[in-house]
Amino acid sequence: MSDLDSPAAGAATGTDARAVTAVAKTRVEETAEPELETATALDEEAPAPKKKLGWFFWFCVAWVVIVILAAALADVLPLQDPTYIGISQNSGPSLAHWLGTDDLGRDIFSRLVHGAYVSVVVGFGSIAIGLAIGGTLGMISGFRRGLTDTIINAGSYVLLAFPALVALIAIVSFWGHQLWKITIVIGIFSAPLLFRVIRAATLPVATREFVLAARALGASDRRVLWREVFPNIAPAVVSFGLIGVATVIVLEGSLAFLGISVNPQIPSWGNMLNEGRSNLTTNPWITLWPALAMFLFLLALNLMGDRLRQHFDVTEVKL
Amino acid sequence: MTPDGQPRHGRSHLSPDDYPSEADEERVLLEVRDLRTTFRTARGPLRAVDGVSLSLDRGKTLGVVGESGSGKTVLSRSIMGLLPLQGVERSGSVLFEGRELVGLPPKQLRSLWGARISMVFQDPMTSLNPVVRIGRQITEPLREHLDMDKAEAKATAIALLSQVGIPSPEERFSAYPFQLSGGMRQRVMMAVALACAPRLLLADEPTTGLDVTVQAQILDLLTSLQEERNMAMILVTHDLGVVATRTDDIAVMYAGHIVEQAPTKTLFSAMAMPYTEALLESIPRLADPSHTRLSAIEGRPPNLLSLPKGCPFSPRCRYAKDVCFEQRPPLVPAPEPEHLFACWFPLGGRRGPTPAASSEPAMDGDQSVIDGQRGASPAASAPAEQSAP
Repeated sequence: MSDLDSPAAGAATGTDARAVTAVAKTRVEETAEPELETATALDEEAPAPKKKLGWFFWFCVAWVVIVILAAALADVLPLQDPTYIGISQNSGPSLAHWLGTDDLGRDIFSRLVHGAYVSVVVGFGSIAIGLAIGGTLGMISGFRRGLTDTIINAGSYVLLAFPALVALIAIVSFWGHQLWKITIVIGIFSAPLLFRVIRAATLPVATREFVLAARALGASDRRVLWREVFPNIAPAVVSFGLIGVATVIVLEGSLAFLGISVNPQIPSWGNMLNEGRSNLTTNPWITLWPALAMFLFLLALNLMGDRLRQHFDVTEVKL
Repeated sequence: MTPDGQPRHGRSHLSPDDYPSEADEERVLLEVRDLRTTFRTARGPLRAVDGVSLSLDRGKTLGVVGESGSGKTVLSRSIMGLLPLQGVERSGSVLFEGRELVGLPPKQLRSLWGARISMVFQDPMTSLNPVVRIGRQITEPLREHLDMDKAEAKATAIALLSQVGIPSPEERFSAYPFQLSGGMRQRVMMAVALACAPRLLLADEPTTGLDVTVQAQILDLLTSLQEERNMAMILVTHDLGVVATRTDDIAVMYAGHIVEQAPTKTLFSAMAMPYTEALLESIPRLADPSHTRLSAIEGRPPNLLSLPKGCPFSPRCRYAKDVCFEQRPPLVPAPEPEHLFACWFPLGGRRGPTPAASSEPAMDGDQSVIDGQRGASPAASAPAEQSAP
């Protein structure tokens, strides 16, 4: 009841403003596209009763932000060296080792925090690459149609027809296991999927009258795509991109589990899972913690993406 | 009056030959000749604009009137060259300020769009980008065409907004389209279109989406801005009432053709084409007693993929006779100056063109249809000559 009172209204707008900046912030972090603010700012000024994203969404955002920060600041944080081999092996959670130690006596919590780096870089990095390639081509394809569309489409089908995991294994074992190489390869294989989604999002926007109006004002195709079409498909890009990040993290985990992701000495969630495999009966903690971390991170990403998609779907009808 | 002579007469008032040659550059802004726009569709070519010729002097207004689907919107976009990227063919000639626009490379065309030729669209609800602040939508063409810097463009945009009658333009500058009413949005659209002071404005049903009082405001605003800037305008509408007081000339379109064209006064005092009459009758009148049944034009505009043989209006025309179903009437001059019409049996008891059917064997129907169609466009007089003997 008190939510509806006038003093609460001010508080509500305060929360929203904060929410909006938070969204803008996370989005910029995630896709490095400053233009995205426009779409969110729309909500800020909507005079109609605002649709809330809900506390759970913000909880997910907070979790994702914590993981990203952990990945970025792992070296600065007062943690044990993740490669330091201690005396106590396979110990359960204790004050000295919050999440226990693994079979070599390394601190699991420290490895978990450091391991986030690989997942975060591969997840967001490869989706950024995929968006740069697939997204650009998708917008061009959906906007120009005709022969351009046919050719790019055919290319996307060719790439989609590859069994991605098998191709990944082949390329990575041949080319090398560095983090950036894995990121690029996964990015290229995610491009056709992102292409399809962004092309589909562009198609209805490209035929809208304001696009024609922009052309009538002498805007070049590139300008029309970037300034007119992109702000309209940004919500779709963000929500699908988040789900893509989650998928890619699983993919990297699978590669690591097979032992062909980054160098096994580097702490990563996938590598930890792989190492813990042999001790599953004696010390399940080694496997449990990275699995839990990955599960929660993916769940948060998926829920965020899904919630954003719902949110913007309805907003679009209003427009 | 022979069919071969008529199209030439019809063209004579449109061609610049009649004007003193040195005044050409000054007076004539736009010269459209035999413009044809054909869409390739799965069911064959669709001729949305089929041999339209017209001319427009600087600062003057031409009204293009017709039902939905008569090709008036496509005509305005064809003049500009603003057509879909694929599946369209445009032929004929569009001379704008002495420059041929048909076949101009896209880049040069774009440098004219917005700067020299501009367009106001039908629906202000959809022609502004919903997720871009209106300020940026106005400053965009200014920065693109006039190379203004950010501050300069903003100042100009605010001045434009207040010119088109938007209260507190500084605040509106950073508003989103959904925060404005329909009338306001159309004002913004006009500010966007007029930003670079174009010489020609194509207004495509600028008031269709608005209520009647706002319609009048918008049209008055357009007229006053036009006079202020000595800008020529093509006002496309389905409403003869809209163009009656605001245009110098009117062209009535039906099925992609101009079927009657005249100075506004002449058109209303001496209309020749039954379609024009029918359009005029379908405007509700204030003087009518209440519950008067509004007269509507029976039937629907023809499918452009399968046009009726003969006059395209014949199936709906209350005066249609046999010849109307057989041959397409050419666009011929009426006794009044600068008045053209395409009808075998014009209104007001005047004489129409002589159908060529009398000398044509009835069996040769296909050929006569083709000739008849071509004959309707003033520029293509050669096939009409063939059918004459």
